Amino acid sequence: MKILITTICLTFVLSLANSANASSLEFNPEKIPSQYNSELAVAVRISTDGKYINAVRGKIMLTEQSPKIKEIRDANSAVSFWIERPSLQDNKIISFSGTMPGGFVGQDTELFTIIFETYQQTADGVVSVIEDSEILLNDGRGTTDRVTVNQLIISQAVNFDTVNPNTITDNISPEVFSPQVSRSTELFNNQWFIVFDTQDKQSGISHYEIQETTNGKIREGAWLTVTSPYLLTDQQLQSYIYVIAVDNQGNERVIKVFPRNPLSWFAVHRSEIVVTIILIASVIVTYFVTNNLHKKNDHNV
Amino acid sequence: MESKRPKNVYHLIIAASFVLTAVFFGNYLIRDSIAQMTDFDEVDITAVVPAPGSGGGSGSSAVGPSTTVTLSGFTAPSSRVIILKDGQIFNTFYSNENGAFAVNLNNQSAGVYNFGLYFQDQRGVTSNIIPLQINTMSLVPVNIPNILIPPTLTLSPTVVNAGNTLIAEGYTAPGATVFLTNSASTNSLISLIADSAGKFSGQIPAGFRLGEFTITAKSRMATGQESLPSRNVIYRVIGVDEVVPESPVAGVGLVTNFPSCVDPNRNGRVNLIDFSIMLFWYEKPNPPVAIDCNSDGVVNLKDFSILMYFWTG
Repeated sequence: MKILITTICLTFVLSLANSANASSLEFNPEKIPSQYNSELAVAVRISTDGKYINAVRGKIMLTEQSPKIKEIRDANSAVSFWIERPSLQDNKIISFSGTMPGGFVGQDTELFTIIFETYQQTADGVVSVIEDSEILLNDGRGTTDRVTVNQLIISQAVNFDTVNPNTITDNISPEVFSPQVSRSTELFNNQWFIVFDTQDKQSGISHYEIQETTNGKIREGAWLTVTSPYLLTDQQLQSYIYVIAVDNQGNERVIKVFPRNPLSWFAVHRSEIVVTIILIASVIVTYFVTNNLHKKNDHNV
Repeated sequence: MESKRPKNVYHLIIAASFVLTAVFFGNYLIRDSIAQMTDFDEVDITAVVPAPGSGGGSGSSAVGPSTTVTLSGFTAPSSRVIILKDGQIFNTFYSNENGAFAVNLNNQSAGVYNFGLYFQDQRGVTSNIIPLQINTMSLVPVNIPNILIPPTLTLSPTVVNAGNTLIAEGYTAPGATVFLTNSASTNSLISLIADSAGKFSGQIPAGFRLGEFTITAKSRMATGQESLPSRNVIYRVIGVDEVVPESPVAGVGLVTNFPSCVDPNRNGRVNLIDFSIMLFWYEKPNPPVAIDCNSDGVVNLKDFSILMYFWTG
């Protein structure tokens, strides 16, 4: 009996020691009702217990009891640059990894929010758990911090501290950004590429599109959906590059990157010049031919 | 009379063609000459253009309600202060001759922003970043006063014989007390006072334990306000009879401000380009050795963590 009590006490003390000064990744709320007639928001939050951290990753494993996920929002995240933006894979896993330049310290700060669809009566149990979590300190060495996690549980208990998602009325474009053209021996065999990233604080970034054009004119239907870094087609850097950031409500921010080696006006408008010359030549030829015909007619008369 | 009418029409057409051609080429000549006037060698020139409506979205590009964020505080006098917004350089300005600074960041729309502040001293050495998460959801003006930016710190030499001394130097707010902590000893706390130029300098005994150790600095104002720690500066203690190398040694000191693995495009800055290069190789087989900061054969979260620590934007 003494051994048992000692073991329990030791386990309790060790678990306390383990959770003290550990960072945490937690669902908020951590309990959701067994039935919900509206969309339901559950945030995944990070707490660093006063320590400065700069990288986080994890996997949210969804059980069969999990309500269907409608969307994942990351518009106001503690993460500035996602390595792997949180997204649902095979309806089973949400993987994420992200970074915070210069570090981050905070309590109960949102990483992202999961929006569940309306769902009917579900048995009590664990909905999802966070696995493979890792939080790294902002110390220049990538030191791993201890992490505690919780579980998301469905329960028939009555008093739930649940949160409805805010209805997003986003008619604001993603923020202005500055794509950068660069090259490195460590990427694409030292060929030129472009990088880009921006934020949308309302509905979040959906995707980016790009097109390169030597004459600076946007061509409909020439947009390519791309990710950063993107290997440029025009390695001579003679093209204007347009990058569009599109948010989850369809608002756009278009940025034009001027070419480093712009073509001369003659090279850009070669075809227009040829057409114009042909046009002028045709007019002149027509003029002389018609003039001669008139002269002949006058002469015959 | 009948033969005169077509002649006039043709003359008109020819004249119009020449005028149109002149306008057409003149327009592009002027536009291209403007584009060529800009310097593209270091920075890509960008412009915000109206959404064409032909991309993936609806084409709208409205601007929402906004507020102002005011940041003020202290650093070394006449130093360049850099503000990061969600990791990208948003604003730069100079502190005054007393080291004070204040800046208004207008037109901040509603949201949660990850701001960061750091400064570059007169030697070009950059300080640690102060991260500030600022919530402007309520659109109420945000004012954060009395920010004390961490000091810069360098060591000389960075490889030293046991028993010798190191010289620690750096910059912070004028008159601030700087506390140096040495990982070689748990009780080695040295305090220095920054002069009117914000410069501090002092000797640190290297001790007799061989190996690599870290020194960090913190500043404290007379008002009691304390800064975050400076960047860690590593030094190496070698045996009394060993020869100290003359050239910089990889992995120690703060000679270039950051290790080469976090700046693969070698432009002297650690920013989105370097992040993107690392991102491409994330958890892929056979990454370039040059970007594998911790030399474990894979680009993983640890490498990104090291990159984030040395971030300059």
